Amino acid sequence: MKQLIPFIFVAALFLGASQSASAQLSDEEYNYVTMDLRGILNLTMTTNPQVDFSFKTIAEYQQGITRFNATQLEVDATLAWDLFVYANTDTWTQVEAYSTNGNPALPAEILELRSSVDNSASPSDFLAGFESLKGLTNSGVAAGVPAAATQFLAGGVGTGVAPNSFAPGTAAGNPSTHRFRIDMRMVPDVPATFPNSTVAMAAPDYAQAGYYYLEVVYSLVEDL
Amino acid sequence: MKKKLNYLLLLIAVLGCIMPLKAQSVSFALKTSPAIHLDFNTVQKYVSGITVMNVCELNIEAVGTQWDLYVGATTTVPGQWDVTSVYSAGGSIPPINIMELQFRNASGTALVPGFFPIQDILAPTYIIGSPVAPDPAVACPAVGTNQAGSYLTSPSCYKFNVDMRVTPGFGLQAGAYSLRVDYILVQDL
Repeated sequence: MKQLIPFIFVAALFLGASQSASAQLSDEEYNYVTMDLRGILNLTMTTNPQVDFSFKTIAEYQQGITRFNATQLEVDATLAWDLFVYANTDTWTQVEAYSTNGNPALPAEILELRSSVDNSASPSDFLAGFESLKGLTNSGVAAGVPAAATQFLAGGVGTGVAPNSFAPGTAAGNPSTHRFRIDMRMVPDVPATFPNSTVAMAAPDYAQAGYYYLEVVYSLVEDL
Repeated sequence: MKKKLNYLLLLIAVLGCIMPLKAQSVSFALKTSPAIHLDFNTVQKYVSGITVMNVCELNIEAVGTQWDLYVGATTTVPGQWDVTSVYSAGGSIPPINIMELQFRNASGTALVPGFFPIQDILAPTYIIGSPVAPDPAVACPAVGTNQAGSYLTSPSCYKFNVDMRVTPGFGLQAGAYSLRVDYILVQDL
C-alpha cells in the first residue's frame, strides 16, 4: 500500500497540471444598449401656403387660371405612409360680395388639382390629371380619418405595401415619390358655372362676384 | 526516507495544481460596463445614424500567456434586437448589424480597422487572435499584438477605446429595443 502512495501523488500531479492547462482563462466586459426608434412623419410645404386666383378679364373667366407648382410638398417618413387631400368645408367661404346677383355657395369641387406623383395604382380614389377637389362630405373624411372616397396623393385606404402605402424614406433621397408638385386650376366660364366641377351649382347656377377662400387640407398619416 | 519522499511528492503535486493558475491570467482591469441609450427622434438621425465615441474602455492585463479578444451581440433571437415594445404595426425588427463598432488604440493593433457591423456572439468578430489556436505570437506594437502584457506598461497595445455607431435607415418597425454587447478576453489556447 505504501508503495502505491508515490504513484497516487504522481498521478495527482499530472492531473493537476493537465486540468489547469485545459481550463481556458477568460474575462468579459459588457455594454447594455437600448434603442428607441420613434415613428416620424414630416410633411413640409415648401411654397407659400396661400394660392390666389384673381379673375379680372373675360379671357380668364373663359379659359380659367392654372397655377403650376402652386403647392410643393415634401414627405420624410420612417414608416409606411399615406397622403390624402380634401377641402375642409363643402363650399367656399365668402368674405365679401361684389354683387347681389348669383349664387354665393360655391362648391369646393370648382377647384381642380393635379399631382406630379403617380398614384394610379391606388385602390382608393386618386387624382388622375386635373380633378375636382372633393369637399369635406364628399371626401368621406370624418374626424381626420380617410375613407374609400377620399382622394389619395399617395397610398390608399387599407394597410400593406404599395399601392396601399408608400415606403419610408426622405424627399431628398426619393424625389419621384416623396416630393409632390401640385398644380391648381379653376375655370369659371361665362357665366361662372364652373363646368369642370363634379358638383353642379344650385340655382342660380352662376357664381356671385365676390372674394372667397377655401382651406385645402393635406394629411400625412401612417399606413394604418 | 520514504515518508520524506511522499511529502515531497505531495508538495510538488499541490504546487503543480496552484502554480499554473498563479502564473497565467487574462483580465479586464477597471471595468465600466456602461449602459447606452440611443434615441432616434429625427429623420436626420435615422439617415446619418448616432455615433457614440468611447462607449467602453478595455484595459487588458495578460500575464504569462497569449490572448484573444473578440466581440459579439447577445440577444434572444440571434441576429435580431430584443423587442421591448413596438410603436407601429409596420416594418421589420431591426437586425443587430445596424450597429457598428470600432476598436482604437495608439498603435492600431486591432485586426479589424475602422467601423464594422457587429455579429452574434455565436459567430463573433475577432479583434485580436482567431478561433484557431494557438495563433502566432505578435509583439507590440504590430497589428494583432497578442503577447502577454499590460495596459499599464504598454497602453498603446493593451488599451482599446470602443466607438459605437447605429444607423437604422428606413423600413424598421418603430419601437424600443435592446441588446448586450459582449467583449470577451480569453487565453489563446
